[in-house]
Formats: sequence, C-alpha cells, structure tokens
Amino acid sequence: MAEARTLRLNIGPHHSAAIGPFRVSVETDGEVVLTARPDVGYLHRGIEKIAERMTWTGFMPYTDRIDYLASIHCNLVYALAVESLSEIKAPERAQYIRVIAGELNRIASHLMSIGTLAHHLGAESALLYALRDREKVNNLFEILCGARLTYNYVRIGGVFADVTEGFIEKAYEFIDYLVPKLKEYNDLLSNNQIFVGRLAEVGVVSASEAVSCGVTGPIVRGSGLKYDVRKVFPYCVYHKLEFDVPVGKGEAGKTGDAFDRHMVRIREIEQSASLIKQALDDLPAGDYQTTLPRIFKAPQGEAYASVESPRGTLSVYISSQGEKHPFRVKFRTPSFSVLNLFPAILKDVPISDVTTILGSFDIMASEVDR
Amino acid sequence: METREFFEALEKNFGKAIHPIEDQNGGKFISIGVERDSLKKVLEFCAADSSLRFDFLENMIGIDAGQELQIIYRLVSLSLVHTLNLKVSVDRHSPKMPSAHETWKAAIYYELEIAEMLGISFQGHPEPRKLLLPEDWQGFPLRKDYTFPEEYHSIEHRRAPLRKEHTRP
Amino acid sequence: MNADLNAISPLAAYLGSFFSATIPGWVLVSLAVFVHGFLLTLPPIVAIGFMDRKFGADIQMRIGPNRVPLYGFFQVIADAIKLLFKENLEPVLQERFLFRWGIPAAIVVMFAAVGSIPMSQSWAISNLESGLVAVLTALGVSNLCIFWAAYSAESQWSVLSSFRIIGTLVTYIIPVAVALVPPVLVAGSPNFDQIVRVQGGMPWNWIVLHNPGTLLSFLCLFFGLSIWQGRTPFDHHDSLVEVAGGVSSEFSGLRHGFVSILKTLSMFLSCALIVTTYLGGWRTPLNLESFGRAANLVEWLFFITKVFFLVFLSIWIRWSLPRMRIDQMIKLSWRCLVPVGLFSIFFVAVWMVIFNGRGLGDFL
Repeated sequence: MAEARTLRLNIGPHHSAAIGPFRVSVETDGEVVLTARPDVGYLHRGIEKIAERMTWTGFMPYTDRIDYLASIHCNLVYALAVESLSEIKAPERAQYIRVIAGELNRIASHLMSIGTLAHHLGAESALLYALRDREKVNNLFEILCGARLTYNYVRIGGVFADVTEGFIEKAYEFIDYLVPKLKEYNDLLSNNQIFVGRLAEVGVVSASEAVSCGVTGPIVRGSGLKYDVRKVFPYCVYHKLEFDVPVGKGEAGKTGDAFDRHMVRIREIEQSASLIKQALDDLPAGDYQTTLPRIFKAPQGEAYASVESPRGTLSVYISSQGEKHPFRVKFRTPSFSVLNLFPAILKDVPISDVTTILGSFDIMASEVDR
Repeated sequence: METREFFEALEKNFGKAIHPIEDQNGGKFISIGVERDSLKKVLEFCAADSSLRFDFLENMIGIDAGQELQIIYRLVSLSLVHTLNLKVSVDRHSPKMPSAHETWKAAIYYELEIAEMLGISFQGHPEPRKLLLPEDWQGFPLRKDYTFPEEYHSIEHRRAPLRKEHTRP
Repeated sequence: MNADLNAISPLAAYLGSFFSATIPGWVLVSLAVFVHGFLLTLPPIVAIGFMDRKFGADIQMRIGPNRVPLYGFFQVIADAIKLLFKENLEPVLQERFLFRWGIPAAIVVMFAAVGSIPMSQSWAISNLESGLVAVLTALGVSNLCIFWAAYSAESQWSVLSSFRIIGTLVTYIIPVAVALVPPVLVAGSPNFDQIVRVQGGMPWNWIVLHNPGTLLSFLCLFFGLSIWQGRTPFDHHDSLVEVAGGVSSEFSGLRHGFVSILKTLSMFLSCALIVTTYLGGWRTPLNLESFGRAANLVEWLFFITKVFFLVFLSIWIRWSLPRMRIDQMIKLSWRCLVPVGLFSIFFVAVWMVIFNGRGLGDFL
C-alpha cells in the first residue's frame, strides 16, 4: 500500500464553522484543501412528505422550520402559491405588512450572517454586536406576532394579526437606529485591513459559474449579476416600492469574492431599511386577512411561487387534487444549490479559507435538508 | 416571451416529441410536455437557443402521479427574463432519465434528491449516492405507495395500540 | 554565604534575611520556589483570568460572570474546581506519556522562566547571567512541549494544529529574538537585573523611550510575542473555528484546565518580559529607602501594574480584531517585523555610539 500523503478532515457536523449540523469532508495536503465533498441530511425532516398528510392551512407552521432565520419568507412563499392556486387575493394592507415583515426578517438574517462571518474570522465581538441589533428585530416581531424565531405569521389570504400603532412607532425608531449603526459595522469590519485581507480574492465565484450551479441571492449578486426576484418577478407590492439591487463590484480584488458578498449583505440591509420605511409610509387602511372556509380545499391544479429570501430564490411548487391536503409540495431552497459550488470553489485553498468561504456563502443546514 | 411562443419554437425543432400545452388552472402554471427520449436534446436546445437562452435551472420537481412518475424542469432565463416549465413522464417500474448536469450543473443535486426520493435513476450522473437519506435506507419516500418502516436499526416507529382506558366505550 | 546565595537566588536570600538562624541554602531555595509560585505568580494569573472575562464582557456589552462573590472574581476559582472534578477522557494512544505530560511540562518550563524575571529588586528565584536568553529558550521549549502533546493526541485537528505551532515557532522566534537585542545593547548585558537597573522610574527613563529605534523594536516585540504565543486573534493553533480547538480538542477535564492555565501563564510571561526589557521593570519613581524590606512589595505592585496594562492591551486586541490567515501571518513576520527589528538594532547601535549611551530621557 502506498503511503498516505493526504489527510481527510471532516469539517462538521459538529464544528463551530458550520451553521447547524452540516459536514464538509475535505481532503488536504498539509494546509491545502485538495477536494471537498458536502455531506448533508443530518437535519432532514421530510417536510415535503409531512405536507402530504397535513391540511393546507395546518402545514404553515412547518414552513417556519425550513429556514428558521428567515421563516417569514418560507411562510410567504407557501401562502403565495396557495393563494395563486385557489385565486384568493390577500388585501392590500396584508401585502404591505408582508413586505414589512419580510424585510425585517431579511435584516435579521443578514445581521446574523455578517456576525457569524466575522466570528469565523476571529472577530468575536462583531457577532455580539450583530446579535444586539438582531435582538431589536426580534422584539419587533414579538409585538407583531408574539414569536421571536419561528413566526408562523403569514397566512393563506393575509397575515395572522394586524400591525399595531406601537409596532409602527417602534419600527420607525428601529430604522432610524439601524442605518447609522451600519457605519459601525463598516468601521469594525468592512474597513478593517485584516478583515479585507482575509476576504479579498477568497472564494471567487464567477457569474456564469453561479448561474450554471443554480446559485442565487447575495452570492450571485456578489458576482456582479443583478438578479433579484423582487425586481425581476415582483410579488406582493414590490413593484410599487423603490429600491436598488446592490451588486458586487470587486472593491477588494476580484468581483465575486467573499468581500463582495459581505458588502452586498451590508448594502441590502440599507435597502431593506428603506423598503420598510416606504411600506410603513404607504401602509393602506383596510382588512389584513380574508376569511377562509373552515375546511379549506385548494382547487385541483398546480401552482408555483418564488420569493427572494435572504439566501436567494426560495420557490415552492404545489399540486392539488382538490382535497383537504396537498398532493405534492416541493420547496426549492437557495442553500441547497450552493452545494454545487463546493467542488470548484473549495479547491486549492488553505483550510483557514474553508471556514471563510462557508461563512460567506451563508449556508443554512436546515434549509439544505428540509 | 410567452409559453405559447416557446411551444411553437420547440415544436418547430422537435415535432412530435413535444406534447401540447397543459394548462389546468387558467394560466397559473403552464407546462409543456416532452418525450423522455428527446429530453436531453430539448434541454440543450433550451439552454443554447438565442431566443430562449434558459441559462438557469431553477428547480426540478419530481412527482408521483399515480400511473407514472413525472419530472418538471423549471427553467428561467436571467438575461431575457422569462420562465418555462417542461414536464417529462417516465415509467414507474423502470424509471430512467438522462441527466441534465452537462447543461446546468445545478441539476447534480436536484437529481440526487429526486433519485433517492422517487427512485428515478439518472443516466450519466457523475456521482450517484444517497444525499439526504441514510445510505441503507429502503424504499422511496415520496412515492405514494411508500410504506413507513416500522423499525430502523432497532429504532422502533410503531404507534402503540390504544389502551382500554383511552378508548371510549 | 548570604552573598553567594544572593547571586544565585535573590529571593532565597531575601527570605533568609527574615530568619536569624542559619538555614541551609536548598531549604531557602525550595521555600523561594514555593513563595514565588503561589504568592507572587499565581495571584496575578488568577487576576488575568478575571480581567479577561470582565473586559471581554464589557467590550461585547455583556455583564460577564456575576453569580459569584466579588463581582464574579470567584468564577475563575469555580471554573478551576469544575475542571478538577470533570471526567478526564483519554483516547487510546500510542504515545500516552507525551499526551499526559506535554502540557504540564510546558507549564513547568514557563514557571521556571517567570522565576528568572525579577519582580522587584530581590524577588527573583534565579539571577541568571543571561536571563533573557533563558526566557527566550523557555518560550520556544514550551512550544515544543505543546507540540508533543498535540501531535501525540493523534486527532487530525490536533496534528494539524501541532504543525501550525511549529510553523509559528520557526517564524516568530526570530523577530522576537531580534527585538530583544536593543535592550541588551542599551544595558550592555542580557542579565535582567542589569537591564532593569539601567532604566529609571519615570517613563522617559525606560528603554522604550531611550531612542526611536527602541520604540520600534518594542512594537515588534509586543506584536511578535502576541502572535507567537497564539493569543486570540492570532490563535492559529487552538482556534475553535478553524481547527476545532486544535491543541485542546482532545483534552478534557483537568487537562483542558492545564491548557487555559498555560495560555494565561504565557500571556503573563510575555508581558513580564516586555515590561522588564522595555518598560522599566520593577523601577518606581518613589524613594523607597525608608521602606526597608517592604520596598520589594511596592516595587512588585508597580511591576504587576505595568504587566496588567499590557495584558489589558492584549485583551482589547483579542476582542476586536479578526484573525489573520496563517500565510499572511508568516508574511507579516518576514516582510515587516524582521526588517524593522534589524533596522532598529542598527539604529540603536549607531545611537549608542554617537550619543555615548545617553537616551532621550537624559537630555531632558
């Protein structure tokens, strides 16, 4: 037998660099990674199979668990698909509230992502600062729906509860607080030479590679492609609101490196804040939900809906036979497609960069496995 | 472009391999059926043709439709901003499909998931393996005739029969 | 006899001066080791553990430990007791001896090195003629001991981090050694006692402000030692995120406690080294002649305060900066610290010749 010259390392499933149980099996020659293979399924709960045994409305809490850092988006995409199939139109006010909740959730998720990336790079305080600001979003959600993590807030035909005066006031306060705070993140991280040095020209994803691999969200935008479902295929009331889609410009080195993805997330927080402000300003009066029949049955047929979740395009396909429960539900989750990038990106990089790249991809194990 | 135009473009090139448009619920979800044997060429055409240019495979959906298994390819063109759903049917007893990973790398993991969940084998897949399920898992969970295992490595999953005092008289 | 003992071990001679009867030298030296370890070194190390928690908590806007008396000070002791009674798992290994004794050996070497640093005019276990070289060697040898322990643990992460330890040792011993030369040039000797006595009590009489060259090499020494001793954020060999705990990934219970003692000890030792060589050591601006033997205590307090100031700087850096990649860290050593250190040696040497050994403070 030839002498083994390579070392097989398992990054995960229980490793501080992995968000949730998620394993990358890498083969290294000293410090340099030769091959990397993702191994997932530790968090597989068979949500699509569960859906076939649940009622249409009863399945909603399960969608929370697909991505617990952005559960509003998972709720929303399912609600949009069922609404499209059964021709229910959510009231205008509900659409605005959905935008507000969705953008708040995007801010929370991006803060978490920025914080964990900094934590992977050893800047441990930045994670705590990000959690401090995320805490304020959690408080807002607590006013909105009583939950702080798995919201189960968006319902088929509207939302679960109306916004209160207190929430609107607190939300304005939060936006005024957050936007100046972003400068703090830039001072601590984005303008820090060590931080830039760690991220620049690391994990470069070209736009064509990203598109071919089916990667969406901040990763593909970081590669310079202006693809955002909110702009391209608008849902809710995004076509009435003004916002910009930030893309990576290669500020630190090459376009599509980890630093571009980081900057895209920071700038998206800014855009989300402006979206929340616009939606709060324009919030129309009226009803916030439509009444569904006591036993809801979606008509026979198929429907498809996509939203832009913080991690990329989140879509759902539903198929109905006209019964109380779905015939088939299939979620397309953004993190799942990111696995395609691994063999090409995690090659000839030092081990230290593996955690950087994983952090900048912002992979959510529960979303990969569903 | 609309699905009608896609259909015309595809029919012009592939003739009978393209089935008529399926529109079950008033334009909500329109799909074009494709014969399995010419699927690979149709997919390559969709990706390469200058008026279609579907550069992005957003989703692959495997469905157990009773008599046969179906796969829906959800294609999106990021450059021309349009979408298309291609539906392929495959025999339930010997389900074989050509792999689309040469056209879109994204297909690699979608196909792995469909293969283990519905038991469709993809010809020419670079790395066939179980992805979400354990290596020794029996059966294909998303098929409608799937029976839940009662025991897996001495983990029992059986509903205990109701005891007398819990049943109503 | 007392004069001889003073030359070998000032602390033993100091302790001997309390007794009227003549006591054998070996008893006094043993007593000195005991006093030095448990009364002079251990309390500051416990205090550093407490400072780390409290300052870290403050920087991160947390409260930190607050469930135990004295603003959470006893948390350090509670942790020690917890680690003492935790189950000590040991993997089945080929080299069990090295796995068991590597970290304790490193601790012993570090304590020995601390003993040669004078904490006041007569509070040092040993007064070595070339104490500076001894401390430098001890820092390197302790790294080798950690390498043994990590390499013999046979876990992939430990082995990987053991290579990193050797990498940092090879890279950083040179800038640190180079940065330690200017004090030797100024004092004319690598003996700690002489290096301290050449400095004064006021900051402008310290070697760090002797001339611009020493200031540069002070910075080199501070960063070089921080990185070499793997202090977060330069903890390449035991970072949790990159190498899953690295060195300590196979250590549990008491052994894990040893690792944290070792980290704190290395922080204390390197800060004490910098204080002695650059920041005036135990020198005070006070006139301590009337204090008699108690003068040593005041000098010790001054020394510890300076050490704590450097420790505070380290903690500040620890909680705010991200980690450099290992290749960037090696580049920093060869491209920045070594050339700057060599330049400052040259600068100091020329300065010593031109100004006849006078520093900036002498011109005031």
